[in-house]
Amino acid sequence: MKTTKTITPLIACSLLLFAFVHQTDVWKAPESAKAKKNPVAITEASMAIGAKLYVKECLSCHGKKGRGDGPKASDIEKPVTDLSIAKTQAQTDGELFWKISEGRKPMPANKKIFSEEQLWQLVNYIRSFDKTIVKSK
Amino acid sequence: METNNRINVERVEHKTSEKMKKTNFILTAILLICLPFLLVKNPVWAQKKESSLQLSFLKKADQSKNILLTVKARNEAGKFAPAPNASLSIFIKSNEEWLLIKTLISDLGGKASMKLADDLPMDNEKYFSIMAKIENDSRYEDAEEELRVKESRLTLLLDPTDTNRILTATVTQTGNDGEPMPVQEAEVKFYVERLFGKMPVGEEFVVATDAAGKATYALPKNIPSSDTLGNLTIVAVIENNETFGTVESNASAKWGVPLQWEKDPFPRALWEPRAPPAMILFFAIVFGGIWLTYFFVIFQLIKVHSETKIK
Ligand code: HEC
Repeated sequence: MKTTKTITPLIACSLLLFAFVHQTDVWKAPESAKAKKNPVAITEASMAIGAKLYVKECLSCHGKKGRGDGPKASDIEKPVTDLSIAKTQAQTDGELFWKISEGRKPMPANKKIFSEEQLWQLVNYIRSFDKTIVKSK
Repeated sequence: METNNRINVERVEHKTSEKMKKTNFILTAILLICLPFLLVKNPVWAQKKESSLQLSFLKKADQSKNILLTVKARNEAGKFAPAPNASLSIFIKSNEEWLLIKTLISDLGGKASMKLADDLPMDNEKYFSIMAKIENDSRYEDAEEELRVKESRLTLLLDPTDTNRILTATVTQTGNDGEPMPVQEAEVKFYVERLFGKMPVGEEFVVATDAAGKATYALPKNIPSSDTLGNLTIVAVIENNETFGTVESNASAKWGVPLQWEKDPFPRALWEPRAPPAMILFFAIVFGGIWLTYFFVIFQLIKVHSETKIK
């Protein structure tokens, strides 16, 4: 009897702790942003601009291939999202556009640094990290 | 007597078994608490870590060709952090085949580097290809990274008679006829070498090469030198170029403002062999005071002694 009395709060505590450790607060874009259409076509020229912007502003955290392995990544308080995985690539252009524009600490907001066109070019460039595409090549 | 003893023994046994039960219970409780963490949070001890490899090419000023590697692995917090002791295999492409040229181990910062041979097998576009792999490492997942670069030559010229102090960097690559050919639109950065690293020579220190493969920069005249002769070492670098990797070059001239030493080469100071006067005075008073006290006491003793003698 005594055993269950002691063990029940212990289990409850451990479950709570567990839930706390594993909590993930998902970053969601608003519905209106999701539906936004990408007006910038994927051309060699626009991709080249996207690549340049990426190297300058994003590579330090997200890494050369978007895996979240940039030079600054280990010093940041949160893991840097892997942009090549399905979870990111499954999002719509509009969602990615919104996330890059707004940022979420420690990811910086970019809407003031970049024009809309440049932001879409970045979205297009991020699409080139898609792991499934790279593998089928 | 005997029975009494037996009872005592039984009691002791009873006590220990109860104690064991208690420790068992505590151990089980601890295990139960830890179990969910151990099971779900990726079991660190068994699983290989997701790894990432970065490979870059560096041609140093001494014309040596080097590759630099950075290995990272995802840590418990989900971040990519430097991965020490990863075993790396380095390959070079020769006639469409990858040949193993060396194996390396990453250092504590996840870095490794090696010098390449002077004559590397090149493809028909005059590129050479290097591949680095993490393979069958006990701690890290497999990873590989390829690099395809072309060799270029960067020279930095400082004309000591030039009063305008123009830095001239020239970038060339080997043409099909084996002759040097200018490289246009390569971004050259100019730095001044300092004891710890390098400082940009000024604003807009990045200059793209022209049709002749030249990039120039007029050195400001107020840059302090780190010696009394006014020597300055200038470093020109092409950084992480897509075609040529990183290429360095340097040159020196007496174009800096010479360093002025202070008049007295050995000033009095706490950390110098010659102490400041105030310190000498202070210690003289302290030690003098102590010795004076001794002398005073001895003097008094002698006085007492002689007085008792008289009586
Ligand atoms: C300071 C480091 C840092 C820089 C610089 C940075 N990011 Fe991020 N990025 C992050 C972090 C950290 C997250 C995860 C944020 C979160 O989930 O709260 C993130 C998330 C993202 C996401 C969302 C991925 C998803 O699936 O939700 C995208 C897209 C993204 N970054 C793109 C970019 C682009 C494009 C740039 C350059 C303009 C950039 N980032 C620059 C750190 C950075």
